Amino acid sequence: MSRVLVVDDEADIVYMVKVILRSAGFDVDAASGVNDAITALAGDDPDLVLLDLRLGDGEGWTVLEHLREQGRTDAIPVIILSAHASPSTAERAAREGARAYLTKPFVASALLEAVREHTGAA
Amino acid sequence: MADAARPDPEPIPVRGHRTFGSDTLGLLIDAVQDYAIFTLAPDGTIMTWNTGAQRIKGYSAEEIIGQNFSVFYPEVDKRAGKPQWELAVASSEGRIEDEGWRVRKDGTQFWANVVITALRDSTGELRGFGKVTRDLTERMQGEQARARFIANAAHELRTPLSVLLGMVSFLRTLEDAPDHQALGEYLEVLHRQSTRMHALVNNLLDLTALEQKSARISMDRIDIDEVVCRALTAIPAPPGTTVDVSVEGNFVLADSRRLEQVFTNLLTNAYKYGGDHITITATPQPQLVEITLSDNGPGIDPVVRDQIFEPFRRGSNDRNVVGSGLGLAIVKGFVESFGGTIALSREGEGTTFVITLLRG
Repeated sequence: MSRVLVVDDEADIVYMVKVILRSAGFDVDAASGVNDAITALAGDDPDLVLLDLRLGDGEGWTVLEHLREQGRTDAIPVIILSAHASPSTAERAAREGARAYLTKPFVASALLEAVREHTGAA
Repeated sequence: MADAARPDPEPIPVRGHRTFGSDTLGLLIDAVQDYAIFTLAPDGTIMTWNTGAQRIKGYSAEEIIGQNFSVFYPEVDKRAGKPQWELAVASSEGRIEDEGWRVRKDGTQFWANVVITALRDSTGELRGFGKVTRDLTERMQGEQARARFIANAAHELRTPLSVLLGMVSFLRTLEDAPDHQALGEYLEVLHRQSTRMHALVNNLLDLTALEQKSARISMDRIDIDEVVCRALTAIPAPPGTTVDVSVEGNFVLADSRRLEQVFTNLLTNAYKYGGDHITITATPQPQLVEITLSDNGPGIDPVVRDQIFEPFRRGSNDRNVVGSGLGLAIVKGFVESFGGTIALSREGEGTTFVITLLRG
């Protein structure tokens, strides 16, 4: 069973993602900020990270940079979940190693499709 | 080309060293302050200068007459040949209008609306150009602020919308109805985020109405005690938080419903970000009443203190605390619409807002 780490500081977004992914058989852990995410990533590798860019204690870019510096973005696919809809932000995400970019709001099927594709659970 | 303002057929007049002429029209142009109005020779050499030009661009007539008008353009435009291109277009088309950055004498830039008009004599020969420049920096900054506001509003709406769309689209995929407990949780989340969106939209409408001065404000004699009681009934203090109120006998001139919203917003902030003790006081002064609302919380981050009343600024980075960042902007707008003031006190610990209102 694939394990997904969702990094978002909005409790109801985390709840929604958990409900959607668990219904499809994924294990879901959550981190509410940059520090929390980096701590979580020090443990067992998740199969995928869903990462918000605007977090209470910093920016999601820091988490992505942390993974990239450790050479782990190949092993741990990152999907950005963000309300920033500009093409330049999506381009930056791709440049910095993210596999996909989902703009909030999104429907459940779009989330599931992206997660399945990048965990190989399709 | 017929032109009522066409100059004399002689070279463009340079009376003395700056004025347009001693006739009424010349005196008028010379005196205009809000527009830079001046003339150029066919090659772009500045020939005349008015008061508005000096005010907007910073050069006196003695300093600038005789120089080429390209001096007003940023380097990048000069390198691209924009000044001469504009003269060529004005010459062939009769006029050119442009908006863009221009450079003042001190090197600072301003956002200008520029109209260059070709000036031809009765034989059609080009005698020069008339140039009218307006400084639209303030308008441009206002448009930028409005665009930022809309972008922020859209961003704030996306979060509750994400939860609503995500949950509803998920529920539509279910083949079996969720169990009672799960359904209760889903509905609670949906209700919370719908309420949040509702509040955000109301706040946006309030702010827009305030900006457009279209908010209906009535000025009545209001008992502060009554309004504070209503606010505390609408949003009671959370468990463990106490609110001391000492405002009895004080009356102000304000709109009752809006003043209640002022207290509701301030109390909501204090409940979210403040400590466990809130104090509200009112002190009469000769023509005013000074109201304070203090909490014993950690206080507002010094970095954002000065911008705390701007829309979408938050005093706390704790995003687990739901808020749109509009509450204090609305508070300030309402207080000022009553002819009052609001400020953040720099004294003491925690957060203290000081409001002055006209005594009723």
